[in-house]
Amino acid sequence: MSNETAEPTTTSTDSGEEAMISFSGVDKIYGTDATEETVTALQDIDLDVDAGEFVSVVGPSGCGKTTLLHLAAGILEPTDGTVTIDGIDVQGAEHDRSEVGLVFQQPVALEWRTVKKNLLLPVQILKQNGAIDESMDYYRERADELLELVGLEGFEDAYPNELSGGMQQRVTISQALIYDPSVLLMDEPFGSLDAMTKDELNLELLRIWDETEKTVLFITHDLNEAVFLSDRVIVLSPRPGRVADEIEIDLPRPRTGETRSRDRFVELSTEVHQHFKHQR
Amino acid sequence: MIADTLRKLGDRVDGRGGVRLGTERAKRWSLSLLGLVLFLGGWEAVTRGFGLNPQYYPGPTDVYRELSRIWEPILTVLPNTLEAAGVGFVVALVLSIAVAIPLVASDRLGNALMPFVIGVNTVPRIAVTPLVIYWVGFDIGPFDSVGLAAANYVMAVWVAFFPMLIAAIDGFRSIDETTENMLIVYGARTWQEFRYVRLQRALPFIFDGMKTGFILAMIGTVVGEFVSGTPGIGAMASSVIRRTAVGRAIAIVLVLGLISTAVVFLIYLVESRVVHWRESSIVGEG
Amino acid sequence: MATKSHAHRRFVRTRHWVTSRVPTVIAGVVFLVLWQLTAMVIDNNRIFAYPEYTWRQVSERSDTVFIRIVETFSSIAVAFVLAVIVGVLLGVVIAEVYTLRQMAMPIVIFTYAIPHPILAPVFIIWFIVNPGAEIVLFSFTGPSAYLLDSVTAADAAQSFAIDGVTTFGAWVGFFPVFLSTITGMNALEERFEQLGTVLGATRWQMVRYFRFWRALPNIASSIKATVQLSIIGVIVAEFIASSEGIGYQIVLAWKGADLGYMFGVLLIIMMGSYLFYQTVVWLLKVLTPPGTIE
Repeated sequence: MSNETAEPTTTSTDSGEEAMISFSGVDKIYGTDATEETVTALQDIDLDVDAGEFVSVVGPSGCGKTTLLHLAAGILEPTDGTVTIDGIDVQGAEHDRSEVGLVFQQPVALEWRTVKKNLLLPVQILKQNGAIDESMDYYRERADELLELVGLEGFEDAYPNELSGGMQQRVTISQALIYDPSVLLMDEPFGSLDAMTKDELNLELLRIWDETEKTVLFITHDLNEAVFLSDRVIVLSPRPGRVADEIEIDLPRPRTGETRSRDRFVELSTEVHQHFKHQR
Repeated sequence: MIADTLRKLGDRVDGRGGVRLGTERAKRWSLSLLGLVLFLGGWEAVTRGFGLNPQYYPGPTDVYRELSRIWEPILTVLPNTLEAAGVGFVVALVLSIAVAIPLVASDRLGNALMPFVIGVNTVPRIAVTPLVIYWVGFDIGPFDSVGLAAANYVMAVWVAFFPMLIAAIDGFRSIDETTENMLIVYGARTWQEFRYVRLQRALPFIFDGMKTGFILAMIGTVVGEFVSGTPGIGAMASSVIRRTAVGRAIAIVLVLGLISTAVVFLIYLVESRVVHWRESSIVGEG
Repeated sequence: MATKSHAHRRFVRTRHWVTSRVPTVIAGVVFLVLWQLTAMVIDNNRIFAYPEYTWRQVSERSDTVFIRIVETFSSIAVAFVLAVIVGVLLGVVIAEVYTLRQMAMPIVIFTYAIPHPILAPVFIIWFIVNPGAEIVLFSFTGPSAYLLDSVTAADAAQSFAIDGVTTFGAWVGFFPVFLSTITGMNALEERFEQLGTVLGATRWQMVRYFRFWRALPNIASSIKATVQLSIIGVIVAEFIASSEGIGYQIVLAWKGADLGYMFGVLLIIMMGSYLFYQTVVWLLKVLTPPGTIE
């Protein structure tokens, strides 16, 4: 492996207190169980995402992108180092579940609940556990607003099986938004959709992000999508995953369908693509 | 597996035929009816044509005649059998769910006890019938005769419990990784996992378990009666067999089969109401 | 480097195999201890036999037990093989002929729902009143004649035969294989159907090259259920209706109120069934293409 990838590239490690999502010195090794062989998925990850920032993570498949996201969501525990959200360790008891929303690769709607009841599922759980305070009525109203926001008005009482893949993915996004978390973690949310639906949902995502000012960590294997959406693109190296490079995306906002045909978009996109050729 | 077969049967019709569903269904029903008629007709023809001894090789008409003769006695003893099988079935159902939940909720408990559960499920549990009868048959004061009939209840629970337990465990465990991750992100507690996801995911499995479970509870009860001789359909079958009256034995089997089929169908109807988000099938996992 | 990692992997696998057996051994020990403790609390061999008493009662009649065990498991083997062969053959026919399938299904569901033990005596009676129907496939002198001095070759004469017990065992075990053959054959993906059409395959060729293989995983997994049911069928037939095999020994122990012998016979039946089941599952794994059985 070349020297330049081995050396961790970091940006604002000094301003750690301001960062909304912060990885510091994170390693993740799978198979520490004595019966298995170990695989180092992530090594020396130092990464800060500022409040309100939109950061994408790209990399070859198997480089640990999803692992990175699951660490931020508290689904996985780092082997070494810490991950904090708003300065609080996600593995600790202090971690506020209502601060983080995760949008999954596949729809997670439960097939026996209507669309609206699915939206309210996280609210029920978080409320029972004392993580959020507002009344149920407040969230019911919010659910209606969200459904309108993602273009699903009129489908409140439909069951997930009656919706198309794109519509189900919209439900998944609104499910992560319902309790208004300040951080949105997205795991290839549009990976399984056709190109047209994907473009459409990309625009919608930017619109929602613009309106709600959330911090977004976005995982994708589509390099153009990453450039189009982000303020910053993080490139991970192949296994073990390390931060190989990061590229500031200085395209003006709001971005529209026309952004993709700008020279600067093509330049940046080429730069990201180049990086992958260089690695091989 | 049997559920799949029957579901496939339905699918196939739409895939191949291309005919409208209504006529297709009518065609299927009439074919089934034709099959039944041919089966009974063939059976009768064979027994008549070869002049077989109706005591050993009865035809459908012989069976019918025997059935009408023993109909009255059947009605008098049937409540005993149905009560033992029904109570045993309900007890086994409640127990299976109550035991499955902690086994799924705690990995450690599950890992420790699963080999035992699977082991007991593979052995012929019906073989302990004489032992159960021997134990409950002990003279325990005034409950002497009640004790012997209690064996039938015990047998129903014992035979039906393990397959239902395994069905419930499989059901509570049928949660995909993404949903599990979702629950972690929301910080769901174990009881919330069960309340919001696992219970609903388990329902189709539990209903399938109930279908085989009822048939098994009937088997347990009937064999219990058969061996112990306490009043019931099993004991009746036993005395009929001792006189080698095959026609009567088949008549009894027919009655039992109809009851089981009816109950299984009832469970199926309830299932298709309750589990509205999924297609149900008549006969569960075999 | 490569060989070292290979050796390491083998080591890891062996250790894994050993550690995975530990719970079973522990369970066995716990079972014995619990048994002994319960017996000590009750302290009455007529209500709950001591392990030691059970062992004595069984070893007193070890020759009978040995002969009967071989008899029972020969019957189970015949019943099982019969169930699989008839189940697959009938399944193939029914799966291929749509009309026949529609005609047969209600009858199949009904017969499946019957509490089958009642039918066991009927099967036995049929073979008693019609002795010519019994087919002896293979006669042999059981291993007990060689291993135990007290057993003569005549005592240990045994056979694989199609008789009342084995046909009943086959009847009970038949359903899972039969139904899963139908399911599997009909689950062939559309693209293979199309491939068959392009190649101009006959119906028989479709069955031989595609459908049967598609059904194999279904059949293999249903065979697990069939083993269990064949065992149940044979033992039920033995103790309900015939005077053969280890199943009948339970009845004898019961009638003689010999709890030690009953405990012993039941334990032997349970262990024998478990071993037979595990052996068939292992054989299936060896014989079928990889991935057929999970």
